[in-house]
Amino acid sequence: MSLAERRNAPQIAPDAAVTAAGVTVAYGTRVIQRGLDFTVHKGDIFIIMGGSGCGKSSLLRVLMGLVPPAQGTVYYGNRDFWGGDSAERDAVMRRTGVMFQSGALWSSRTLAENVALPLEYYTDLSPASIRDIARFKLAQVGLAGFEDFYPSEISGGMKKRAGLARALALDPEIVYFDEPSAGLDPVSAARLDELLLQLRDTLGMTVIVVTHELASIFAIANNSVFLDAKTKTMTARGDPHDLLRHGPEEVVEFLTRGKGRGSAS
Amino acid sequence: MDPAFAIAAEQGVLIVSASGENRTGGALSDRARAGNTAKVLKSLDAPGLTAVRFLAPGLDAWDPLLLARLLSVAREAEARGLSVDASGLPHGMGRVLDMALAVPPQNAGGRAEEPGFLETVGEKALAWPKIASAVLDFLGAITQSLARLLAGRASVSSRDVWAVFRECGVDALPIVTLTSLLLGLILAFVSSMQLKLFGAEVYVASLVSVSMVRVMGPVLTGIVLAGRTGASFAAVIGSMQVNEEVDALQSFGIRPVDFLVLPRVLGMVLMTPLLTVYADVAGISGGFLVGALMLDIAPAVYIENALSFLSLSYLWIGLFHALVFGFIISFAGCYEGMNCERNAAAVGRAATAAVVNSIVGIIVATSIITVILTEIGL
Ligand SMILES: Nc1ncnc2c1ncn2[C@@H]1O[C@H](COP(=O)(O)OP(=O)(O)O)[C@@H](O)[C@H]1O
Ligand SMILES: [Mg+2]
Repeated sequence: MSLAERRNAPQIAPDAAVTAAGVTVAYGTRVIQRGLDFTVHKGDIFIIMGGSGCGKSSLLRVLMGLVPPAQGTVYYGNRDFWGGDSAERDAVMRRTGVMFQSGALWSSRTLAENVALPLEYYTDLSPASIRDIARFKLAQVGLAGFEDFYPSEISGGMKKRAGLARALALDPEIVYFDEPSAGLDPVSAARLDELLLQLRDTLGMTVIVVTHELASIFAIANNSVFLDAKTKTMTARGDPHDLLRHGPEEVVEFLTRGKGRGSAS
Repeated sequence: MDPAFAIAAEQGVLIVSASGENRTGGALSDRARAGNTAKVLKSLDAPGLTAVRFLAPGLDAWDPLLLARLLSVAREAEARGLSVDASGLPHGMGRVLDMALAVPPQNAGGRAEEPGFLETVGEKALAWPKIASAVLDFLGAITQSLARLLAGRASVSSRDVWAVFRECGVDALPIVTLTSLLLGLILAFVSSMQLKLFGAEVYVASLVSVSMVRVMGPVLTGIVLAGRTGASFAAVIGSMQVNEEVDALQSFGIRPVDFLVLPRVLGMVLMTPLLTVYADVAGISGGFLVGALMLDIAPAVYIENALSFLSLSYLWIGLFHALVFGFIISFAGCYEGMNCERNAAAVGRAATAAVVNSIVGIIVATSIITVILTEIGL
């Protein structure tokens, strides 16, 4: 980031959890999304919407610190995340949890060991306490009794839930979800929504979700950004309930009948 | 020749009708159709056209190839600003064509053309500095990780180091036993054929023990471990890349080099020398079997001769080889795994590359060490 850009650093809202400032997402020279500016406030349930292939997962990887943006930066609170050094980034990432699209469980470890690993790495709790915490986190996502299963022995939906339990292992301040309810049955999906609301209300977590599920968007979200594949930038942001009434045409279509289907990808 | 498409222009509307047995497996050859499509494309440029209409009156079955051709005609027509009417096609093909037309082709970057031979050679040559700097970066990352460990700012899970100990220790014992024993036998046989000419068969014992301990034991252990453990390092870490498991580690602020690479390198560097000592013993036993059973050397004489020429410095030299090999193998395995692309075929390539690079590295390192030791007179 050049000095000139640094001087133009955006006004960070006092209650901002994550702020994207002029973020461009690209693979090599191929730009996926450009000029993204939005703020996720503390305690938000923030949805990243858009047709498949428009770059939602790629944006998430930039926000959560796995890939640097081609341009712009991300602020955590009022600290420049990508402008800082890698040790600072590690410290931020320790306080965020991520649930990957496919679960991304560590395949050589049981579910309980998956949840336990971050605890072993960062805390000096006794093995028995860690085991108890892991058991509780798994029960929280409906996987009690599966502690000693390996990831290859459970279904795709269960992997996602186990991934969620692991994401919550360190009681993060911010959690990222990539399509959490895709592949879940309707009951589990509704339970997941409920869990997200609970986490926000009881622990004050900030939740950032990529999802296509209209039901869950309207049930839980209070803020969002809409990425457009054609123009390669965001075309709307704000509360999806407001966007439904005043948003641009393609966003309204997405929110009323599209369910992400039929959009260019 | 039966024309695939009949073309007629009526009041600015180009009517393209697919006639005859125009369907997959029909009488018309692909080439005739392609030539015919070219003719249709040409007639799009006729002056005064405003629209194109597709018809297929005689069509009695679904025809994907016809659709593919009509799609290219329709795209060209749209590019010239003509309107396209596909409603005359039977079997709902018109609607399918409309769906294909609804989304214009996206400039998604596409694929670069397959490069020619010279370009491939040139690219490979130009890639060298890049690879060299990536290797040096990785070396630096491992060094930093080790420094963090020594400074107590990183922790290596003892469980992972133990797993590596097991993988390149106990688990490798059977195959190391077998290969070293046989190598000892082979060395004894081949050398006895020559030494017999001078009546000096008893020196088979020292020849086997010295060559095993000094260089053959470590090289053999290295090659076995490269094939077993090096390949598995690359495959395991590579498939963790594919499954986003490495990203998951990083998402917790856990550095993959600390967590995945350092335990493997440390485990391997410590374990290879131990396994080498074991291989030395097995190889010397192999020579002993040949000496005692086939060359009629008295066991006591054999052992005496084998040990009398062994000096401690040979053992140190052998262990130093082993240490270097352990580093080379674990480095190559982890490097290939960490740089694995995200698909299944890449995991296979990573494992192969790890083995090939380890073995080349072992041979090159052996030559270098041998030359240096000879120069300083050891
Ligand atoms: N590793 C990669 N390398 C190059 N291009 C990629 C890579 N991952 C994704 N893409 C491209 O980036 C675009 C957005 O992908 P993604 O972020 O996965 O979309 P979404 O999650 O919105 O469905 C796609 O066009 C895809 O082809
Ligand atoms: Mg995605």
